[in-house]
Amino acid sequence: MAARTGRIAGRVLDARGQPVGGATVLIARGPAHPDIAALTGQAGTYSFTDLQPGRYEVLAGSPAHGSSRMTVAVSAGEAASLDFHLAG
Amino acid sequence: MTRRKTGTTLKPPGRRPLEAYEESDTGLESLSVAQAQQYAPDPFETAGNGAGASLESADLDVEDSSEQPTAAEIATEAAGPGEIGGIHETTPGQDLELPEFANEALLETSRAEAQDEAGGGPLLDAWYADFADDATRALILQQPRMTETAMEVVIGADDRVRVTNTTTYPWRCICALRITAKDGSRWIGTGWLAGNRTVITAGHCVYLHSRGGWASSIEVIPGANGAGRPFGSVSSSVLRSVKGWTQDKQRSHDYGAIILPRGWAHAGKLGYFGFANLGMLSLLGLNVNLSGYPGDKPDGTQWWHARRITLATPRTIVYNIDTAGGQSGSPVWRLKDGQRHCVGIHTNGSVLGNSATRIVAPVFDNIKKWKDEGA
Repeated sequence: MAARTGRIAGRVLDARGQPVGGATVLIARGPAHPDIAALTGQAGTYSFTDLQPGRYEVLAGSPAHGSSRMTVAVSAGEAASLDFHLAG
Repeated sequence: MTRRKTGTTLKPPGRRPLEAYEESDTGLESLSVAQAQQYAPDPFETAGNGAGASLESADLDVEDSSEQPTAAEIATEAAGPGEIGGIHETTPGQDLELPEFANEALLETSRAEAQDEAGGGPLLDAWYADFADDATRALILQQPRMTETAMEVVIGADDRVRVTNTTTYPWRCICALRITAKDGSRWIGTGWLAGNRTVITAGHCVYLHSRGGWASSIEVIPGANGAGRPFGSVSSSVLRSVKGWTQDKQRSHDYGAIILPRGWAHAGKLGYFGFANLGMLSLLGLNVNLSGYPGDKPDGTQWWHARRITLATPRTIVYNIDTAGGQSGSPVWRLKDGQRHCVGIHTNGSVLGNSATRIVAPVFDNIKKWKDEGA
């Protein structure tokens, strides 16, 4: 199963490049995926695993920093890197 | 509270322990054969035929909700905000906050476009590649209309409705979840009260594969309303799921429960949802409601949406209801004669249709067990 799925991982950063803790990150569109949202920790990191290959639209945001939406392609057995730079 | 068994279930030739439930607090990772065999086997799996026992139109098992409507309420069927079901279909302008644009015709157009893009053949969710058997895939391909699904997680215009008063029933029975996984990562989900101290949610909210397994702790916030917590919050590490999820990671078994502590201040005071095992024919085209805590909306706000079920498989139901990450575990319910019966536990978003774990007989039985545990 692991070889047939991929993952998305990255960080949520503010306008100064500092990690944003407590940001919400979720998959807004894509192949079948669990509808659970991630909360970033102090390091601003997040990851989604066991994803079907395909294109995903990912949304990240926090009340203090606004939100951003980006698209990434996921391939089987690979990790797609996706960092967010929020405007606030 | 009543339980009515009006249909019949097939006697399978053998027993499968996938529905044998697991508990987090005792560390009971595997049951003995004798223990596993005490739980009702899953007739759909052992029969190996997705078209087996699932075509009844009767309500096969029903556990009623806590609220008992008066005769006047049944007659007027006052639903809201925007709840669909019962005698009177809710229409725009009637206790609703619908945006200007809520167009069913657009949904039909989107589905037609999706079919054209696929070359006219039936669209199968990628889920079927890994989690459906040959019989199920064959059933779906034989009935291509069953594969008409939506293109987006949020479909067309976003016409989700904010639930502004979460202190009333049933909205106060829907809980925001703040999940701390064993590896320390944190997640947002949704759950719903099925009993005095029992919160039903997605299996992947209580047991997180690749995150260390059972969640370390889950904070449950009934009726969360933005920054407001009208009923406070309560944390628990007493979690339940089934081996089909925890060990086999089967999408068809993606469901679980949180048992809240004895002495919780609001135990038995908020009410609870009923739940029902409906036959396939009852599900197809049924108007269902879904409400939960999407992560793409202001933090802690509850949002409702409703649409018809477009597809029912032996273990899932699919619908065009708009959802977003954070709504895993949301109740999917019908409103009928004043009773609210959950028929699914929302679990997945997909470009081919959002979906829930269907409440079939073994799921019903386990939810009932967990409800009794939290009585």
